[in-house]
Parts: sequence; structure tokens; C-alpha cells
Amino acid sequence: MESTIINSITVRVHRKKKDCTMMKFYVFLILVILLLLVAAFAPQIVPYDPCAQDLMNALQPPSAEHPFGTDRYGRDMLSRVVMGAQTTIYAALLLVGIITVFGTLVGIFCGYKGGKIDSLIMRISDVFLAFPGMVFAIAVAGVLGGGINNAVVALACISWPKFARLARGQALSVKTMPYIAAAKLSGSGPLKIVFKHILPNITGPILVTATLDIGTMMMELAGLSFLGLGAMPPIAEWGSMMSDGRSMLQTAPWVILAPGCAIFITVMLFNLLGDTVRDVLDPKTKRSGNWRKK
Amino acid sequence: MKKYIGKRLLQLIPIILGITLLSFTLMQTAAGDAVDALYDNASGAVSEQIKAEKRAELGLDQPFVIQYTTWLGGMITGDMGVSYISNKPVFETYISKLPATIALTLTSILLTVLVAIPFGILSAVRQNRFTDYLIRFFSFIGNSLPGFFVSLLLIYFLALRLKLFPVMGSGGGWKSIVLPTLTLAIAMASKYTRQVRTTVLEELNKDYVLGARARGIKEPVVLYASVLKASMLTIVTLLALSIGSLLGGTAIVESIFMWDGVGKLAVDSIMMRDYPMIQAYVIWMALIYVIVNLITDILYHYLDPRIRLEQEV
Amino acid sequence: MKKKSKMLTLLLTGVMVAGMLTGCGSATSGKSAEEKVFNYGTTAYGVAMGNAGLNPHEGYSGWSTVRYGVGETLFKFNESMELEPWLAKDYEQIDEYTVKINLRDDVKFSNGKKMTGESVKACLEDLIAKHDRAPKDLQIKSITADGQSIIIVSENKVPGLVNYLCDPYGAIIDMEAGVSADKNVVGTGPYVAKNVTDTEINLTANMDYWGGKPHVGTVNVKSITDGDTLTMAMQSGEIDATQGLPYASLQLFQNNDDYTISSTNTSRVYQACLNYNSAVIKDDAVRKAMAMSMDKDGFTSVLLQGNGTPAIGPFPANFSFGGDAVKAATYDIEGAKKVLEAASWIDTDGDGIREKDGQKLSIKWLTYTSRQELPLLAESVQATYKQAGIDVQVNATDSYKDFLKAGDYDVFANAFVTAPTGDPQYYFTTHVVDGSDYNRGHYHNDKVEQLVAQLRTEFDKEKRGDLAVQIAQQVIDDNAYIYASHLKMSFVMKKGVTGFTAHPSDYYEITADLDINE
Repeated sequence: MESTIINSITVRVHRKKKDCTMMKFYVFLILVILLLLVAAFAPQIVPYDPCAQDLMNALQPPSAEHPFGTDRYGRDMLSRVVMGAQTTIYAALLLVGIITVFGTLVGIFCGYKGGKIDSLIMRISDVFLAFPGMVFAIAVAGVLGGGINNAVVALACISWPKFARLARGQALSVKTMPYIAAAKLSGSGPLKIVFKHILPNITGPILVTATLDIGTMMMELAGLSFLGLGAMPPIAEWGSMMSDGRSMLQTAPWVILAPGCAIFITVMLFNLLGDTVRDVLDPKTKRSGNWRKK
Repeated sequence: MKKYIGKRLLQLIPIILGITLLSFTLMQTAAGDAVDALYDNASGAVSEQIKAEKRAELGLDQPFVIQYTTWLGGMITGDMGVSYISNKPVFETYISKLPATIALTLTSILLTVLVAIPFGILSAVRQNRFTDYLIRFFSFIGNSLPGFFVSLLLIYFLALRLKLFPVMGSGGGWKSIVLPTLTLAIAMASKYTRQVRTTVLEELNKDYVLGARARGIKEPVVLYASVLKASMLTIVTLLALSIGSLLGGTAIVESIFMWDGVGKLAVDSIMMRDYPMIQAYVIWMALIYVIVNLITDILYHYLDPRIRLEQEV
Repeated sequence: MKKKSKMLTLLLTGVMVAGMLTGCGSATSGKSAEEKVFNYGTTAYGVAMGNAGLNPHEGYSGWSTVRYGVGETLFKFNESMELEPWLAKDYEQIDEYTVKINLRDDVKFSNGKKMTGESVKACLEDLIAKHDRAPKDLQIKSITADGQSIIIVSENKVPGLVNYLCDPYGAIIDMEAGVSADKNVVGTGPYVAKNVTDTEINLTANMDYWGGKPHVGTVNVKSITDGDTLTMAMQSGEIDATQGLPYASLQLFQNNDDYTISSTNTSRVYQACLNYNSAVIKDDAVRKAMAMSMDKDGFTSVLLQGNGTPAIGPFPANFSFGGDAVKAATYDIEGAKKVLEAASWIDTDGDGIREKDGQKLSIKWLTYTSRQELPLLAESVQATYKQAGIDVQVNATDSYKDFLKAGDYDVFANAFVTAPTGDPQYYFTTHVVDGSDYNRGHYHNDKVEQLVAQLRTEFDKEKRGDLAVQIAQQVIDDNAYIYASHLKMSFVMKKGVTGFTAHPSDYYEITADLDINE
């Protein structure tokens, strides 16, 4: 699937020689993969145990020994930021994965089926869209206990309708295309039509939205951490590390700046990747680049 | 038109029923109740007997269905009840917090529009040049800093170091709204600058632009008369969504700047399990949701008459 | 505007007259008392704390009445939490059920009315009719007024009756003036509330205050719930004093000539309650080792950044029966290891955690996060217990009540104000006797039961203190509770603010002594 996109794009890139979109795409892709590798192998590459306390060395400024300093338990910030990558990125990816898959399936189903069941599900999605996220997060934390996984559950519950709407709209417009009618005439079953004809044709916009959503969701998780509904100690997670350290902005700024920069870089990378994926998939926006030069 | 609006407003009923039932169920299943929250937060501890009496007084010992129908009954007759925590009428308390939230919504949307539209267009027009990169870089920064961190930085530099604005929201005159507005607008403007850029780029590639240029119409005219107007659809949708979420209150910003609005009220009520107040909040959210959607659809119709109002959105 | 200037003129005239009468007493600074404004930011006021408004007969609002100088109680506590007269001159315990309280003759409510036995009776009767906790604390059968004294007859023997009257719900207000819609009241204190909301109280000085003329004309109490906002508002000078700063911010004001800090020990203790229903905890050696492995000094000096004192028993050192009146195990990891080894808890599989009969020495540490110190304690214990070979699974959740109900914990760590009324009985009757509400560890000791029964009916103060020491010592010897630290409370104020002192009871904040000298 992926290879076909890339192949077809390669052709286009050759058509526009000066275009460096593909180049950018690969660079960002490699950087994101690097980041994911760091997250995946965090336990192996951290210099110190991220949970090991050393009260005698609490709140040390950055030094050769501790490049990002230490926090108030004397834990090494570098190790915690690296370990935090795992928790934070894992949580954001998990969240986006859940809402994308679930939302898309519901959306396609509604768009394809139409009728009563469609309006019923859309009314339900209205309720979830209008429902304040915080009530959900706190209720989930109350029922299942705090923790990053439950924060993911809470956010997933209120975020899926966005993708359902998107997929439904796309499915509706694809449904009327002649080739679907052709497929129907040739006797394809509904499942085959959905998975073979509709799904591949709407993957693009959904993929772009999903990539761009990773950053947003990371922010949302950080916001929940601020309200005390995120990761539980002693787990390292960037959002809760920042909100824990915020009262030390003036006395020990490294405690908040280290996870802050990590979030910044990660969100930026995913956003850049998302933008580039859009450029790659949607060549319309590319062409105009040099329109003034004409 | 009137019929259409009426029909849309009728949608409110199932949404409000669904949303209040959902929030009631959720808060019921969540641990602890208002009585626990109240006595635990205050100093000292009280015996379970006193708590049980208080529960009976508030009707919290009743089964879930009875609690909900009692509340619903009151609601239908226009009585939203009394807060479990402050003992004040819910409706009055809620209304008293709205002006602050509405003011903050207006200022931050205004600032966002003033920043995002010009910079988004500029970024699109100068695609892949220095200006574009610079604008996009800043929009990435604004997009990837958690709100509470931005507000802390703003307070630290603008209020503490430069002494331009007061730290706290309430009571400082017009100056006190600047920092909370900035906090909200930075995140939104960053997001919308990129959205505007994308939308404008898409429009610029359409055939009518090519045609207009071919007919020798000047670029600024093409840009502002055609492209901008066509891009408005997307921008309006986005803004509508933002206004909706802003009107729901921004808990974090409100509590950092001591901005006494509905967001802070909502968080406090949720934390304290103050059911009647939470219900007022979710009803408000449902209202905003339906009305904002309705206005968006009407605007759509106005901006692009090809879009018919009757179709399901 | 016009109204304001009119009021100002009135006030000014009043002061000039008063000044002439008192012979122009204290003129310590360039500004007159009326011109002085004191802005006070606090985390402790608001709807969420249950103390919004000033009506003492509702929830915890009495705390605000007393804290912000609007109302006063019949007796008050001194620095050692001993009773002192306030609106009352003295009291006589006529018999075990009857107490006579003699009131001061010179006290006026801020509306000019005199405080009499009748007005105190009306106020207390309203209190027991409306308040949730007071009737059960006081157990009043009847009140009779006789001139400037009242006689209270109680249902049962209540040795702590007069102490209970010091609880802020006992603030005396004028019931004829009643409670306004915005929950304002008429009290006897040095300040009068002009405007009361859920987030702010604006006060002006009561120039006819019976205890002397206040030195500051206007006091604004602002509720600021976010610690960082509070810190920066203090730094920017928007507020003159504050209470409830995050520990990390306090060091910005320490050793800084522009600010003064007033600190005091409170009886709020961070304690770990050990659950006797758990098989592991039932083992005496395990409890002893746990008591020995808690690094109380490290916790208070590093994690609380010095804002606390290591605790020995439930009561802090400013109580005659607190501090080192009891003895507890000292921090000794090596000793703890020996205790565990002697009880044949040995690490056989080399993972650093001890086992016995195939059971791992792992404990579930239940706590909650709404008190910022508790997760810190849990993480600190996690590290030190591990050294002794005890594994700690922290469960810090705000739905801890469910876990308590399910009995799913080995240790429950919480914060508790052990002696809000200066009396030890309250803590013991809620924590260590069978079936008491806060006996989360199902602790039982016959000797303790018997001593607490004695305490319930003992009226002699000295003897009560002795009993308290004996009970506390027994609880500590059994290692039923481990007391980590007592919270230190700090007020930070601008240089020049005087008469603003932190009090161990946490009841008194703004008094007639408050002054600003610039």
C-alpha cells in the first residue's frame, strides 16, 4: 500500500525536478523513525536509572555528569526525558491509532449505509463532540484510577467522532463515484467495496489528519497532566514532568525546560511530517509554489 | 429559514438529554461524591454519621434513577437546583461567570483572526521562501508548547520582568485581559496560520485563479477578491469550532490567571462532584455546540449559496 | 465615586476624633491608618475549600470569619495551643455537665450593639440548630443567659467543650443583624467585610474595635488557587502577603531582605497507617523495619525543602504532650535489615527483595495526590524501603476511598490535623480505637482502648496530657502508625508588614496588630 503511494509520487517528483517535497518527506520520516527508536530502546540507552533517587543531589544544575541536571528527588533529568519519550510518544500514538481506526470504521459504515442507523450514530457522535472532555477525563480517572492509559481512554472517547465525521464525508463523496457503481454492478459485496474501493481512496486525508493530530493529542495529554489526571509517579512522562516542575521555573528551570524542549521537538517533527505527507499526497498545493515567478 | 432554524433547535432536546444522562452516569460511577469532596478538602475530619446526614439532605443516598429524574423534573420547570458545595442557586452562579468567559473568548478570537489571516496569506503567497519558513517556524513553536507553560512564561517575562501587565486577571482593568488573551491566541493563531496557508494554497491552484490571471487581473485583486472569499468557508468552520470550545471556558488559563469564568467553575465543580453545577456546564456545552453548528451552516449558505441548508451536515 | 469620598470623609473625621481622644498614639509611618491597604493572597479561601462566605454556622466558613478578622470566638489558643480568654473573661466548670462562661463587658459588634449573654446565647443556639459538626462536638442540652454570662448544660460529659468553642464555628455574630444574601455577617472583630464573593473579600477597619484601633484601613483578601500565580503576584508586588506558596517558591523569598517570613509548626501530620488485616503487615518485624526505614529527615529537609519538622508522634513539639514527649525508632536501614533477617525475611533469589515462606516482602502503599506532600512521601519511602529489601507499590489516586473500602492496601498514608482544638482526644477517638472512622489499619490494643476510655471522661488538663503521652507511646511502640513529618506553615510578606504571624492552629491570620511600615 505504502509503496504504491511512494511509487506514484516518485513519478510526479520526476516531473517537477526542482521540487524537494520527497526529499523533505524522507528527512522528516527518518527523523521521526529515529525518535521512535530512541523511545523504543529508552531503557537500554539511558545513562542512569530514571527512577533512582539521590536526595543528596537534588536539583543539581546541568553538569557533565547530569547534562540536563537533576530533579527534586535527585533523579537524572536526561534519563527521565529519554524514558519519558517512550511513555509520551507511546500514549500519543496509541490514542491517535485508536481514534483513527475506530472513527474511520464508524464513519465509513455510516456513510456507506446511510439511513436511520447513520443518523442515530451521528446523533451519538454529537453528544460526544459536545461533551466536555474534562468531565470525561475525571470520571474515567475516578472509575479506572489515574494513569496515562486511562487518560488515553478518556481522550479517545471524546475524540473519535472527529474522524468519524471526516471518514463519513469522504465515504459519502466516494460512494457516488461511477467506479463504485461499476463495482456494485460487477457483483462485489459491500465488504469488498468498502475495503477495496472506498477505504483506499479516503486513506490520504485521514492519514494527514492523524499525523497532524499526534502533536495536538500530546498537548491534550499534557493538559490533563496539569490537572493531575495524567501519568502516575514515578513514571516519566513529559507533560506531568512539566507540570510537576512548573513551580521551579525560577529556581531550577532545567526541570521544566528539558521536557518542554522534548515536547516541542517531537510535536514539531510530527507536524512537519504531517504537512509533508499532505504535500506529497495532494500535489495541488505544491504547484503554486512559484506562481509569482511566471 | 425560520422553519429550518426551529428544526435545528429541536435537535437540542435529544442532545441535552443524552449529554446530561451521560454526565450523570459518569459522575455517579466515579469515586467519591460531593460530601466526601467537601469534607476532605476542608481541614480536619468528620465522622461518617455527619457525612451520611449531609448525603440524605442532598438526596445523594437516593438511587441513581431517582436522582436523575428529580433533577430533570426541576430542570423542566426551570429550576436548575442549588449547588451542593456553595448552597447557591446553580443558574445564577453560572450566569454570573459567563461575562468573563465571553470577554476572553471575544478578545482571543479577535487577536487570532488579526494574526492568523494576514500571516497565513503571506505565508501562502511566499511559499517556500524565507518569510514562509519564518512564519511556519513560529507557528510550530506556538503549537507545541502546553498552554500552562506559555502562560507561565508570559507572566514571568511580561508581568514580572518587564512589569507591563498585572499577574492576576481580575481587578486590573483592561490590562489584566492581555496575558490570558495572549496565551489563548498564541496557540490558536499558530494553528490557524497554518490552516489559512493551506486553504489559500489550495484556492490559488484552482482554475478560476489561473483564468483571472490570464485575463490580466492584478494579483492583489485576485488574492483578496477571489481567493480570500473562497477560503473563508474553511476559516469560518475552524473559527466556529474554536469559539465553541472557548465559550466552554478554558480551565487551565482561567485558573492560572484567576480569571473567574465558567472553565474554572467547571473544573472546580467536577473535582468537587457538584452534580447540579456540572449539569449546568454540560447543558451550556450542548447549547454552544448546537448553536455554533447552526450559525456555521447558515454562514456557509450565505458564503456559498450552492450549499443548501436542508442537507445533513 | 461620590459615595466613596463621602465615606472617606466620614472615616477621616472618625479617626481624627479617635486620634484626639487617644492622644495621637501610634504614628509609626507616614501614612495614616486609613490610607494603608493590605492585599492578601491566599490559597485557602474559596468554594472548593468549603469556606466561601463569612457565615460561621455554615460548613467551614467560620474559618474565614475568624481568619480575616471579622469574627472572634469566646476563647482562643496561644502559641502552645493552650486556652486563653478572648470574648470571654473566664469559665467555671460547675459540674461535669455544666459550664459557666463569663463574658467581657466591653465588646461591641461592628454595628455598635453590645455583646451580651443574650446575644451569645442566640448565636450559639443558631449554631447548633444549623451547623453540621457543632451539635455533635458540643452536645449542648441547654443554654441560659444571665447578664454578661452564659451557662451551658451538656447532654454527656464533654471535657473538651471549651476547646470546641474555639473552633471557628464558634465565632460570635449578631443574630439580629443575621446573615446577608452574600453571606456577610456582623461580628466583633477588628475588620468589617464590605464585599464578600467566592473569590474575594474586601474589608475595612472597625475603628470602634474593643481591642484597640486597627492600624490598616483596608484589607483585601484574594483567593489565588494556582501556586505559581501566587508566587509571581507576590514578586510583582500585587499582593503584600501570602499563605500557601509552593515549597519550591519559598526559597525565592528566604534570605531576601525585601521579604519577611513567619513560620510555625502545625498539628497537620503526614502519617502512614499500617493495615493489620494484611498478613505481611501483621508481622511485628515488618512493621518495626518499616518504621526504622523511613527517612524522615531526608523527606522534610529535601523534599519538603525544610517546610516541616520530622515527627515522632502525632502531636508537634509546641504541645506539652507532643514533640519528644514520646520516643520512636530512629532512621536505621542497617538495623531494619537485622530486624527482618532475625524474623527470617531473607532475599533468596537475589532480586533485592526479601522473601519468607515463598512470599515476597512487597507492600501496597495507598495514598492520594490532592496534598502535594503525600506523593513525595510515597516516592521517598519507595527508595529507602528498597534498600532494606522491602518492595513498595505506590498507588496514589484520588479515588483512594474505593481502595479503602475494598481493603486493598497494606499502608494508607494521609495528612491529618491531629489537634485542631488543642486537645488530644479527637485524634485518638478517630484513629486508634476499635471501629473509629479513621482507624484504617484495624489496629486494636486493649491497653489503648482502656486509656482512651479514661481520656474521654478526664477533666484535669495535666492528667489528660499524661494519658495522651501514654496512648501515643503505645501506638508508636506497636508501630501501628508511622509519623513522618509535621507541616510547617509559612506566611510570606513584604518587608515592613508587621503583626502578621502564622499561628499553629491555622485559625488566626488578620488581627488588629496588622500594620504596614514603609
